[in-house]
Amino acid sequence: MTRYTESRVMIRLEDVTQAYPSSGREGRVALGPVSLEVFEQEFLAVLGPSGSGKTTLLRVIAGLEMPQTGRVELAGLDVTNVKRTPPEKRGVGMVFQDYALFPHLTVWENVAFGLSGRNGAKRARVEEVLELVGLQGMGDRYPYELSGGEQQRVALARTLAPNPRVVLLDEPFSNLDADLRREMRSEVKAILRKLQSTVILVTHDQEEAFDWGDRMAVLNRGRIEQLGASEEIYTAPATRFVAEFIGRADFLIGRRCSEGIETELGVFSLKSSAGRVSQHETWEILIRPDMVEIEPDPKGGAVIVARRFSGIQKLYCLELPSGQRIHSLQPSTRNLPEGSRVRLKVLLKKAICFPQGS
Amino acid sequence: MRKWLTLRLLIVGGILGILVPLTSGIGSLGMMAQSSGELVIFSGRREPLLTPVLQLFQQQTGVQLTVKFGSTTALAQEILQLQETGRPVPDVFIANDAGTLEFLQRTRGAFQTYTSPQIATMPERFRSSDGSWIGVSGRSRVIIYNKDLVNPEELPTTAFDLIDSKWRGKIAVSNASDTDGFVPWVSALRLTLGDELTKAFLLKLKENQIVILAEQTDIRKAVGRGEFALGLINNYYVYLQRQEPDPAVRNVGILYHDQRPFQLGTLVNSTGAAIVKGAKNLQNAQRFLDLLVSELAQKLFAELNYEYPLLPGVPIQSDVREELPSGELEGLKQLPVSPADLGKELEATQQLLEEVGWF
Amino acid sequence: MAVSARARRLIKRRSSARPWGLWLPSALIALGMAVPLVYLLYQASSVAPDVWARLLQTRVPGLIVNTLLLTGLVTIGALGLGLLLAWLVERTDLPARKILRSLFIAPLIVPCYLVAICYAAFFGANGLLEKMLQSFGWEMSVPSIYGLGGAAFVLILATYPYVYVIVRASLERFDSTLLDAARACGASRVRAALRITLPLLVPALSAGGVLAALYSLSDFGVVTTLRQQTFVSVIYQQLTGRYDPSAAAALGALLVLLTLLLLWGQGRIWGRRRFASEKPSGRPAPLVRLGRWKIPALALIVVVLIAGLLLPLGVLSFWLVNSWLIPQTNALLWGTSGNALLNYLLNSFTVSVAAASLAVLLALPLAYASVRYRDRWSQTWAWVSQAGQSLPGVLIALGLLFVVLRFLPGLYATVLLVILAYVVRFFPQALQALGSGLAQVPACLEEGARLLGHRPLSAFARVTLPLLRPALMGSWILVFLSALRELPATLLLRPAGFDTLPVRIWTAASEGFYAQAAPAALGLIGLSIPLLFWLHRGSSAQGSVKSYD
Repeated sequence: MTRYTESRVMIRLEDVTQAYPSSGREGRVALGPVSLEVFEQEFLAVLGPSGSGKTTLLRVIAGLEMPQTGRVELAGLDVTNVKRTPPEKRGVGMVFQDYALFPHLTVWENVAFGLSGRNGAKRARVEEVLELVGLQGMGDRYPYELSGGEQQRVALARTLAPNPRVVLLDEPFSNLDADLRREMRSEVKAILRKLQSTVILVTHDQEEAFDWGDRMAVLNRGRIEQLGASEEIYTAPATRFVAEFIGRADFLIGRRCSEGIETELGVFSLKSSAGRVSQHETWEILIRPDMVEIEPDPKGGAVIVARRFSGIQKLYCLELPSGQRIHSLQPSTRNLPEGSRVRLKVLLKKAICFPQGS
Repeated sequence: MRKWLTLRLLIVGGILGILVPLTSGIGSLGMMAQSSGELVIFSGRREPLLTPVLQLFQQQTGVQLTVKFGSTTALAQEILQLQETGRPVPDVFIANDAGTLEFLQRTRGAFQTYTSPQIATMPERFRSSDGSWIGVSGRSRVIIYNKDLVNPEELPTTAFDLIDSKWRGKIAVSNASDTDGFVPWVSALRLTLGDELTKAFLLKLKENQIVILAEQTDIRKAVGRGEFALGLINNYYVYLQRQEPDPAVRNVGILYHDQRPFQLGTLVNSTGAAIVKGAKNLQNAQRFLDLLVSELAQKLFAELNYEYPLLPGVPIQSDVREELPSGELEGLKQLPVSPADLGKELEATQQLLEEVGWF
Repeated sequence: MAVSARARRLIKRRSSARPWGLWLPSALIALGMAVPLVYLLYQASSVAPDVWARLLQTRVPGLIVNTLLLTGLVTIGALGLGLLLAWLVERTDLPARKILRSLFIAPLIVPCYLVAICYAAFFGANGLLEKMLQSFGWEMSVPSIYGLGGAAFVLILATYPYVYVIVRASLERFDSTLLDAARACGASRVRAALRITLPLLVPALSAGGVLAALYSLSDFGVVTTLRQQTFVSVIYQQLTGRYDPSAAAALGALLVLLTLLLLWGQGRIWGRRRFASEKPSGRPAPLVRLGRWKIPALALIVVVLIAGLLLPLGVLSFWLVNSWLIPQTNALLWGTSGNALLNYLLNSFTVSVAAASLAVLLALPLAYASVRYRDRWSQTWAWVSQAGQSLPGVLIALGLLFVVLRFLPGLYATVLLVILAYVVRFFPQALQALGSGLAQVPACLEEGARLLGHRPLSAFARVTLPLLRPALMGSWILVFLSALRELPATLLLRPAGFDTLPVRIWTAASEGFYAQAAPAALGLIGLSIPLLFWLHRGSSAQGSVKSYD
């Protein structure tokens, strides 16, 4: 975040809303109102569950949808009006979830589609871009003759060929299998960094979002719930939705007391927003599995009711005397039997808490 | 067992669909011809022209009739093929052109001979020399014209004037399949003038953008509607056109061409009927032939179809007689050919028409 | 590789093991369907050289020009009209699109020979139109409906629904993100339409175009009524007007050649390219706002519906009323020798039921073999048996005549021959409908039944057959409808005393007894309507008019 404070703002959305008519076949969730600034050369990841309006956000920026209200700026220019600044005039490239490769055109023709000008220059540019994505010599193939990863590269090449100022990636890796996904991600990231593009990546995959962005935004029901650095969002979620959506979360119920919040695991002091605390009686405290330390103790208050093995780590499910359950993440080398009693400790300086029922 | 139901339904449907037409009363020729009291007729004459006589026969005899209408040539072909394949043949063949009958008899011996006192009363020119066919009704070639489009004074007097450019694109004729109208006329021209002259004449007609239609009914209707000024046609079609329900298309006139001195004359031809070799209902067939040349039937042809009765003594329909030069068939100047002559020339004429591109 | 020759042989035999009980009948049925065509070609090859020479010198050049002109005009017209209407209905904010969507296929209910007859009577000199104009005091002559223009017009009206249905289905499935991608690549709306949408519609357009072209190549009724000479009308004339069928056989062979060229050309169009993206997007493309173009668009639609549907129906209704007013001519035509309208109806009905049932029964093993065992041979059988589809009824009749006269004289001039002609001609329709129905029944269902202890036949009967019932019914109706309306082959092959409804309508109309043809014609149309709409009720989802590839 600090890197960009003095940078130019590349994309600016102000109170943008985009609603689809609710009748007819497209009764989809609307976007906004959303305000957002993306800086030049920034990599922004937008994370949200399906239907949260991620794709719509990209389409508004690309000019494929016209927002009902608000204002869209690209490099300081007002491009809200799609009629005045149609998609082809924005210098915005987009990679679609299913790649949207033109099935009747060869790889070469697909990549050249967005290029104008002399044939010689065009050819040189296509070759250049194909080499950039590692597809040299594949220009004569048709899309159906390519593997998923290759199709992905063609889609990227096609988007990059006209040298867009902004690149929008709409869940580009979701059709690849897990290994290839990681590999492609770092490759694409490297290419785009090299080109110094401004990039928005939309995804529903947290790992991808964490790994991608300088910053990330969490979108829910068309609104941005939180915008900030990845770590900040994980450790200090602004809303209960963010807390639950990002990483594994348990919520411990507690009551307000003078020092903070009193729970069956003790009293937690509060983060800064104490002012709001006074208004509520019952609170939920965010507990992440990696904060919970456990020690075997026959007199301990919690019982291990289940454990799940996932390679490097084991996730233990613990039942507290009140019946509430929380989880603890432990290295695989540690082996505690189901049904054994444990003592537990929460490593937490400041509690993140939300009023119950919020 | 519902599982095979669909297939069973299909099989039943297939079998029933085949059996029903074979067994029911409306079924095929094969079944029909078995019992007596029936008569199967192939008719190259158009249905409305023959129906009154068929009804008369049915009333008189009570015989059950099965009739297939179609083009004379196609039916002739079918009869030949039925005879070849040994399938049941029709009993009587009515052709709209006696020449076809002569042709079939001469080349394939398709008919059996039959004479009776009644048939003997017909003029010799209109029955075959070996008794294999009889003429039924007579017709002559005429020009039909639309009175709204042409003044009678403007009319050509001979068919050879039709090559005049003033008729360019305004004349309708029929094609090389029209075996009872145009084709015999061309045969007659060939017999009279020779192939070369006839061919030259036809080519001139084509140059004059003469329009070739499929059938004479098309010609009379098109001239009646005013699509064409003139048409080459058989005489009775003119009167049929005048019977059209719509008064606007009735205004057609008739011109007997080539009637002046030093002109060739027109063609008088006849329809004909014959008993097919292998006929199952021979007796009924003979009765039917007798009926065709009886006074009653001849009157029907004359009065309802405006044809020339061939039986001596039966009067020509009054309207027809009125417009006929000299009021009788013998008064007409005719090309000197008989139906039998024409039959021999059929193939050669069609060949010639093919060569000049008459289609 | 260290595989012994014996092992290799064994592998080969194992992998090529095919169920002979299915394979053999399929092969026989397919060959049977192709026999008339093959024998026709054989006959043509034995036509004397001088006949060929004469034909090539005189008739053929003009015929080829005439036929190709008509085919070209009809194809272009049908493509244009079908594409435009499909686009209007699928992609614009045209009012009443839902209703129009199914109304556009309505012209299919009137057999095209009826449309031609109505047009000849309506637009002809001194026809109904001129009369109407005169009654308003306007004396004017209407441009001639006869010849190339008129025939092309009527055939376009008859064929555009095929293009329309296929293109509309294709537009409906169209992946609109491709357009977004094109826009995001910097293409304008127009460029995206030209470079992306249009090329991607090529398969639909070519399938529809080939349908229209084959339709006009094989049409008999329209060209005969409207006096346009094409191969079919000339072959028919040759057959009915001459004793020597060799010229007809020669012309028929040329027509077969023309048809094959057309089909071969269609296969060449796209080569390695694919036109469907793998996953259609769920995002519907935004509708184009027509704005002030709405009025011309609606005007065009009104014209099409009037020309294709209301005008013929109106003329027929007018004649129907007339026929009540002059009953005596009715008796003349429909009452002779005890044959009443009902009998013709019964004739039509029984042969159509037989043909439909037989065609579906015979198509079943072949469809099964070609869908379930996608090996080279079953594909070949399926292809071979398509012969009837692309060929005019006149040619099928001609081929069958040759075959029957030579090998099965007992069938000559029987009802069975008519039924056979229908089966051969409409077998491909049954095969395609069954094939696409079978493709929707997953093979694993049957495999599941096998694992549960059923033998192949029993598994088929208990699982596949019930699921196939809609497809069976659909293909049955398809063939039944086609057979019910068939004209040229029936004209050529019917035995004495066995006229069908279309034959009587045709005879009556060619006698000029239009009024008398009207009740039968309207009856035929009335019978078709529910069946046609049943067939097309699902067409929005799958484009039920099949292509030929």
